[in-house]
Formats: sequence, structure tokens, C-alpha cells
Amino acid sequence: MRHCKILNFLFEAVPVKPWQDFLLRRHMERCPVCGAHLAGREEARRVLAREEDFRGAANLWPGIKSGLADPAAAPRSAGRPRMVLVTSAAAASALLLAAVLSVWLFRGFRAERPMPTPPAEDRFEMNYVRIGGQPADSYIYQPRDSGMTLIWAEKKIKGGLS
Amino acid sequence: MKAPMSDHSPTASVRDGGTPDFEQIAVQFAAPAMALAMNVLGNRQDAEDACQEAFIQAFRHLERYDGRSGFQNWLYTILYRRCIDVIRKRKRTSRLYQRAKLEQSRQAEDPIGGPAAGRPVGEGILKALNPQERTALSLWANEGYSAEEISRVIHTSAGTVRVHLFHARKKLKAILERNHEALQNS
Repeated sequence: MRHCKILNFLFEAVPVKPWQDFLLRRHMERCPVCGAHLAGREEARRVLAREEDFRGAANLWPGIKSGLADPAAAPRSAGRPRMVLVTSAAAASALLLAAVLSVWLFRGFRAERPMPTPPAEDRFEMNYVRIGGQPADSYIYQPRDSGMTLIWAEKKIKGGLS
Repeated sequence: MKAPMSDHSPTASVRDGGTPDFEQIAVQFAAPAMALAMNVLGNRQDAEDACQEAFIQAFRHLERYDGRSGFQNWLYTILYRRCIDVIRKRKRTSRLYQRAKLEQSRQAEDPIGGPAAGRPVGEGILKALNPQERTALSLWANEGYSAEEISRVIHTSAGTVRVHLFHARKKLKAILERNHEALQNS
């Protein structure tokens, strides 16, 4: 029983078909304990459609006859290669798009790299901005090559931008 | 149980240089083909379409049948591919739901499909299995096919078929037990 559980765990844990087949042949197909967890032929037949269900009820010949007479109604067996072509083209396009997007994003990332931090004596620092004792939204703008620092502060408005 | 892979030799006349009786072949193999298609597709209209297309394809390319594996097995191979095509098409168009509804109403009115032909074929249960599992289970339970024989129909290795069959039987058993318990509790 314990042995079965371990093998079942190994069966589920390594979903590689040859390995699973090996376990099936070596153990599960012979073991009565494991076999008890599998539906038998009779049980399967109870839920499956059977030949008897369609005997006399499935008259396919008229459709087949008209299909044989009409070449246009032939099943398109050549559809598969075309499908493969379409799939390959779609995959190639997706790869190309991914490559273009990656290059573009990478460039954008490089461009948005933070500017080198100014030396400590030139750096403007501010701990907290409050208006009426409440934390306020603050925006700091420091033009490049200028000693000027602009600070815009406004009251926080609940549920939206001011 | 039927002898699997038996060649009913419907195409013997072709090998003898004659013309086969297509109608007789279609009548002879329609019921087992419909059963397989119904099990894979779970929908009578789709099953009929797939069967008709499979027969047409088989009859058009009868010269390709070499007689090694039995006509029924060869037909099943074609039918399986048609069924997979139908499933692919279904996925693409996402019309499964509408189809199922339409099918329900059609089955209710179906004059030829008696209670047996119109029965839901454990539809909910079979939905838990994938197409390969449903095919393997159907051929194993209904036709008595071995893993090697099924592998020739679905074009895969016998080992893979054994795994599909194992999963199918395990899922089926679990569902049947769950249903049984639910029935007892109610």
C-alpha cells in the first residue's frame, strides 16, 4: 500500500511519458490495489456511446454520396500544411515584435536612467511638507544648471488629483 | 468482445481490380464510427459530420489502404484526425456553448435518435477527459483494442497510449465513485 502510494507520487511528480509507462508496466497494471482505482471496461462502457446506439440510426450514406459526387465538398486534407504556414508566420511575427519591443524598452530604460547625484553641499533636501498640519502633496523642480529650486505644495484632496 | 483489428475485407474488390460497394461499406462501419466520433466529440451533429468526411476521404483515397491493419482501423485513423480538426475548429470559433444548446434542442426533437442514440453519453463525465484519453478509452472499452492498436489510430507510441488510458480510467473511476457517493448521500 505504501509502496503504491510512493509509486503513484512518482508517477504524478515526473510527468514524462516513458517514465510513466515504465511505472505502469512494472507495477500499476499488475497491482490489484492500484487497479482498484481504475475504471474497468464495463464501467467505461456505461458512460460511452456504443455501436449498438447507432445501429440503424446513423444513416450517413446520403451525405457521403453527395460528398463523393461533389469535388468541392471534399474534406480539405491540404488544410494542415497551410495551417502550419500560418502558425509559423504568426510565431515569426510575434518573435520579431518581441525583439523590437525589447530593443525599444531597453533604450527607454537607458534614457530614463537617473542623473548623477549632485554633491552633498549642493543638494536640496526637505523632510516633510505639511499644510494646516496635514501632509501635503509636494512637487520639486530643480532646473539643470541653476541654483534655483521650485517647490509646489498643495493640500491633499481625497479621491483624486487636485 | 469483438476481435480487434479484424479486416472485414470490404476493399477486397479493389485489390482484385473491381469497384467496391461504397454504400455497403458505409452501412457496415457507420455505427462503430459514429460511436467513436460521438465519444470523442460528445455532439451528434459534429460526430455525423466528422464521420461523413472520414468516409469521403477514405473512399477517395482507397488505393492508399494497404490492408495491413484492417479497414476499420484505417478508417478510425482518418476519423480521429477529422475529430481533432473539428475540436480545433471549435476552439477557434468558440462556438461550443451555442452548439451544445442547439444540440440539446435538436436531440429533443430527433426522430431517428431514440433514447439510446440521443442519450447524453455521460457527457459531463467525458468532458473531464481530453480527446486522446476519450479516444483511447473508447477504443479500449468498445473495440477491445490494445495499446499498440490504439497507438496506430492516434499516431503515437504505445507507451503514451498506456498513459492516456491510465489517466482516463483513473479519472473515470474517481468521477463514478463521486457520483455514487453523491447519490447515496441524497
